[in-house]
Amino acid sequence: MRLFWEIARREFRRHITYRAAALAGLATNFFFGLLRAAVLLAFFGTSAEVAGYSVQDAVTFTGLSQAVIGPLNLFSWTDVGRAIHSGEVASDLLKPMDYQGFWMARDAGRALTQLLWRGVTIMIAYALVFDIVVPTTAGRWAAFVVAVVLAWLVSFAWRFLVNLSAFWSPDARGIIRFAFILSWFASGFLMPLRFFPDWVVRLCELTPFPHTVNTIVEVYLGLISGTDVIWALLAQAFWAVALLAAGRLVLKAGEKRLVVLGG
Amino acid sequence: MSSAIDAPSESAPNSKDRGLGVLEGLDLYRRLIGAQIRSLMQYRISFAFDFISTGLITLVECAAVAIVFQRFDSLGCWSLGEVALLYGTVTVAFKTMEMLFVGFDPSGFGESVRLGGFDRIMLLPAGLTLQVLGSRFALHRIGALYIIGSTITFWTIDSIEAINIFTYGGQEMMSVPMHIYHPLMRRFFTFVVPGVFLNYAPVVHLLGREDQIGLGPTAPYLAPFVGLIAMIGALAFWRFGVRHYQSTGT
Repeated sequence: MRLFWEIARREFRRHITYRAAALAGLATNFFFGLLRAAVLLAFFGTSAEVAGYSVQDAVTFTGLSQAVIGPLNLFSWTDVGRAIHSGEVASDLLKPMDYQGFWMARDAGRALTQLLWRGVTIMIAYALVFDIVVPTTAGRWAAFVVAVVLAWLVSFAWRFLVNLSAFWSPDARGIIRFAFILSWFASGFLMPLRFFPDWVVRLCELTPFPHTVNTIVEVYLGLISGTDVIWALLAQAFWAVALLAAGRLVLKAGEKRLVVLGG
Repeated sequence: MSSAIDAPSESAPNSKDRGLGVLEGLDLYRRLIGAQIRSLMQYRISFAFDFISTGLITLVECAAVAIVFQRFDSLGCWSLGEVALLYGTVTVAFKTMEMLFVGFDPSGFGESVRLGGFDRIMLLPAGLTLQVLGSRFALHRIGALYIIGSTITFWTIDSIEAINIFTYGGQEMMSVPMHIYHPLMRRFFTFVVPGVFLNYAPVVHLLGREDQIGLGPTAPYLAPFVGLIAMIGALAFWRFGVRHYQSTGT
């Protein structure tokens, strides 16, 4: 535990030094947020509410979904796949530590920097430009924080799992890319899932993706309340545990296959 | 296979100086791209993955918007078919640009500056622009912006994510009707990055719609001129960057 804490802390300090990169990323995420907000506003036109979303909810959705791009690494993450292909994995597996825990600690440090540099700042920038929704009860804030942490766990668990495909395929990058593209649609990142017809939402719910962006958004906006919130958080926890366990099993199988050439 | 023999560095013609004629230049470009395509085809499965996933991105983006159209009647008074025409024209244009200019893709080029690959290119007896153009070719996928983005990496070393605002941001912005945006953003994409002339103005004209942002009657025909001016500007900036280039020493 102590080891993972140290790894996470170092990763946090490493990432927090890249201020220029963070600023550039921030500007990009914010600008795209403005574009997406304009599209949703044009869709709404004169209607005040669609599928449970008010205009204010929809604008806040674009800010929130842009804010989690960094912390949840929504666009791409092939670090583990690269470590497997380069053979770096072999020396890390020799160390007396848990390989999945090692990457989880690194990802936690990185996610926390992104949350501070990008997540919080984008929401502040949004609050300056738009009239956004801000939760008013302590209960909703608490549920939101738990939802973000669990969403990160689900996100890390599936990213780690698909990266392990590198043990079997030299084209793992393509497989990982597929998963990411599907996640943009099914997580409710491109558009809120409530705007989709029921049968599409049900298809999405066969995947872990809605338990990342969509749950965060619905809890923050208060679109679900009471016991529904508890159920949503439990569903996140279930997917996190299931995917982490699957990751461990697949890692075991992968280790058996691993052949690293010397040199 | 012959690809090893025809590798880009060896296939440069035996010209004594950098001033290649136009025909020789075209021939060199053809050979460089030929080598790239052959090398891509060596990894068929990887190529198939790239090909399919690029299609999948377009599909997923279109599906998300098309499905949401069921909930709403229109996007700023434009129908799904009309928006699809905008999206289609900008996507085809952007992907063609990526295909031709991917050698100037800031993220890849930044790496070549950082690792010294660009120094090697400078030593070869052929035009720099031509070599960078021929250094990569994306079969699966507004060139001027890429060139500007790459030139900036001379100073920043790393590619800067913010250039995405101009490239992908421009693409995203141009895939929906321009009149829905705030006037400030519209002005940015009219005067700073003149994307509005590339597809919005011609599509408005083609659909016989009223020009809602007052671009004027000549706007639908300006795209080729705007493109040419942007390209000349970008190449001038590129030359300036090359003249002031200092290697990273790696």
